Amino acid sequence: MKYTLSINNRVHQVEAEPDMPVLWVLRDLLNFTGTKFGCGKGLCGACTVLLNGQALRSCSLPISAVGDGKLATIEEVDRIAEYKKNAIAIKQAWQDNNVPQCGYCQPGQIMSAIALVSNNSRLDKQAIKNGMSGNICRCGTYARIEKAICSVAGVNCKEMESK
Amino acid sequence: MDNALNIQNVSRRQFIRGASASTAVFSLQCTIPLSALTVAEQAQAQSGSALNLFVNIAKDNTVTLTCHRSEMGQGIRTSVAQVIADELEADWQYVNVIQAIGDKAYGDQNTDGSQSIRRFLTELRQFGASAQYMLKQAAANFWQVDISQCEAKNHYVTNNNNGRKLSYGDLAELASAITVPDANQLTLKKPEQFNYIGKGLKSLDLDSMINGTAEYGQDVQIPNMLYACLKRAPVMGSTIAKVDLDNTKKQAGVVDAFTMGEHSFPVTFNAVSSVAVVATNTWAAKKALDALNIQWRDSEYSQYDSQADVQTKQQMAENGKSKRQAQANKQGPKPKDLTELTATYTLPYLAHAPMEPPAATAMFHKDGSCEIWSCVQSPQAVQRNVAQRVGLKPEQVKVNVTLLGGAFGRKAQPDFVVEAALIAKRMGQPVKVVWSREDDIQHDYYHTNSVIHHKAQISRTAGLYRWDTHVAFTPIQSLWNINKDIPNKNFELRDIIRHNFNIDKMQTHAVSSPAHTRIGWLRSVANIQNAFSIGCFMDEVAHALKQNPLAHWNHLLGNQPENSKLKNVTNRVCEMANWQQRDSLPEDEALGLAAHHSFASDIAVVSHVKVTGNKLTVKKVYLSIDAGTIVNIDRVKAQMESAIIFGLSIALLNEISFKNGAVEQSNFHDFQVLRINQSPEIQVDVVKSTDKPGGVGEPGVPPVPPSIVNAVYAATGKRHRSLPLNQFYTV
Repeated sequence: MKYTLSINNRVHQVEAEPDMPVLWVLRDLLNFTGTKFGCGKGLCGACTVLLNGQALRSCSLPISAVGDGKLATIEEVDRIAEYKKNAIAIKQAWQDNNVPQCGYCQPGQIMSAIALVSNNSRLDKQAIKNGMSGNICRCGTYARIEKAICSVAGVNCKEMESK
Repeated sequence: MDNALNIQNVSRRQFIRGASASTAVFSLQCTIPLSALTVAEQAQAQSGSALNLFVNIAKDNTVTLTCHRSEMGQGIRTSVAQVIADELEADWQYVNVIQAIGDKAYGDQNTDGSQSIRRFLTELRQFGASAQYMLKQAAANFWQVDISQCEAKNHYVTNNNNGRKLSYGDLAELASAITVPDANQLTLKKPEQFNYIGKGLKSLDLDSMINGTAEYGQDVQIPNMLYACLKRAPVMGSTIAKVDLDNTKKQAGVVDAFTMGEHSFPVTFNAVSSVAVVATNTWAAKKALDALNIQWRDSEYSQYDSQADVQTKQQMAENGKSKRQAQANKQGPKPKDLTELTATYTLPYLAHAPMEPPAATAMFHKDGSCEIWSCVQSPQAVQRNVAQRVGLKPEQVKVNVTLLGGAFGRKAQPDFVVEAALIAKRMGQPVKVVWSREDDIQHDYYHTNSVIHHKAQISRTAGLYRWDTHVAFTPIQSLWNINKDIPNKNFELRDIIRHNFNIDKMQTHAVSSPAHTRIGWLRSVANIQNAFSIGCFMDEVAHALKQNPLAHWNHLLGNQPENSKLKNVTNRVCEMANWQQRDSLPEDEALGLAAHHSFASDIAVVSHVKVTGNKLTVKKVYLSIDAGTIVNIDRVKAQMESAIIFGLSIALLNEISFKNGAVEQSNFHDFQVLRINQSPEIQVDVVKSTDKPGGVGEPGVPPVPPSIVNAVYAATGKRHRSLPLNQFYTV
């Protein structure tokens, strides 16, 4: 089947089976490898993309379900008008807190964080933890992720203490 | 110093001989046997001027440093660059780092054992200092003054006679023609002169990791590439009885399908018996593979049941069906009021589950040589293992090391790269082998399950008098010899023999524990079960003696100089956690303590838990570490944060079990790892030290699980001796 996808505000034509998950369309057919393969079952969040403002697991999203929805990926999310402000702030907070270790899950973490901050005007620490609980980081960067999102969401997050 | 008199006319090779002689006390394997040829190759590969294997400077001042160790989240690419740049007196804004290919020229590249910094700190400093010397000598020649009149600082060499300056970019080409100095001509900095060593510099890979351009093994794309997915034998040694691939080959996107691999022993890093589907994209390969009905032949491991295995091991350990491995006897008087205390601790098999499942891309060039792109901890092991199986010499296998999306020991085993090489050879086309999460969970090199039985003789008057230990777990050596059934005394048992403890009599015994699956290295290896059992039993003995666990640790560590650091961090962490006031916590909250020395570092942990009914919450974890000289303080703290989360996954959630020889778990729904909503507050304390560096990547893990179990006991009076704790609590 031929599909026309809007990715990062650009039109892409691809030929794919209808059940092919967006993850593999992005990675194997269009070379958007910033969206990562982690579990293939929507359990880890490494493949998170934005579709019409919602964070979705692209490993479990068939291409046939996208329709004329607008997809955003890690590579250019900070250049898209509706996400720009929060995406730049989240990425900067990731820089300021030196969040990544191996870095592999971080594109998914960042996409989830952008959606969380964009779609919730009032967040607190627990809401941030709940909102990010679908994204696994095996390196355990959680404390820094929490701190980074708190700084963007204006939540008073207790400083990580270190001597 | 074997070449101390040979200052004149030294080659680069001799420089390195000097360097290795000065560090030989560390380890012979850590030497970097640089050959002149390799320098030439490296120099040709880059646009600037190569001053040595690790340092290249371009006319525009860009300094390109080579990292010869694999980056898997520990920040080694930044740390290696910090060390070289410091002695080089480079301006950090001009520094970038490239990844070394697999090459013996770099010495040991196997990134395991938390050893990159502790093995290579001095040598890397010498490489930086050597390049700095050559830049100074080049400037001295240009100004026709003695080198003693020249000073290198922050990317410039200054002529102290007249204040004139030349930048490193200006000098690079001249410097590359300078004779490499002998190691003993180099003066390394004093710690107080460090610009970068010790600082928490931001990771050099931060931008690419945040904007999605960082390249991992799964991300490699090369022209004309095919994708392969495999279904592997679910039981060790099992082979394919029947499979029909005709229909598979007709599926959309599928290029070929075939059986491959072997079932031979030793298992080492063979591609196991499997069906491979090669397609034009990963999804097509995976979908066709999942539709297959494969019938497997049983092997001698097809009856294996890990639950029954633990029961057998427990009986053997508790009944002394074991062989003595070590003992220590001191001449103390035998107390009269001895009573016996015993406990048996069990841990399940564990999987690594790095966020990036294994992946490898291979292609064969027209000259017959093979090129690999993969997320590997040991590129030279890849060269050897691939070469052997495709009929090449190791030097005909070029290994490009990508970033590793986590590894924790999994990617030290090159089995997945062997698969890629075999398939690429067969296809005559580049092939990427993509492992799924199910492949990763079900075909790991697992951390062995374990049973450890402790028996103590204790006395109200004299404390812990005698401590006997019986361990039952499978050694990693079983990969090379399936009959190896006793852990290695100098490796897996080293940290449980604990003769440094202040105890009169100690014995360590081991129960025969043959392999039923592939056993591998997982972050901190046998220290996990050793520290768990020791840390818990220390607490049990303290409570039996009605002692404060901290006082008990202090007593057993005594005044032995080799225990001074562990004792120090134990007391520091207790101070940080307000240990002495722990009775003032709410009824359902408590603290637990554990400490452990491993990988030449000393770490103590206090965990603060809350147990309300069936609900266990880890509120906060405190950790104190003495790792000697620190290169990047922020990455050391990050590794401790990481180790706490990894240790909590082991304590609370992780379990791999076998039924009918096969792994029962398959993905993150049944092999659970800690999530952000389960993660505690963390407080890390790093001891300031100029002592020689210890390891950082692994040693934070072992003390975490026992600290949790001890805290749960303090909160509830319930003593748990098997993990994970989610068998008893909601976490």
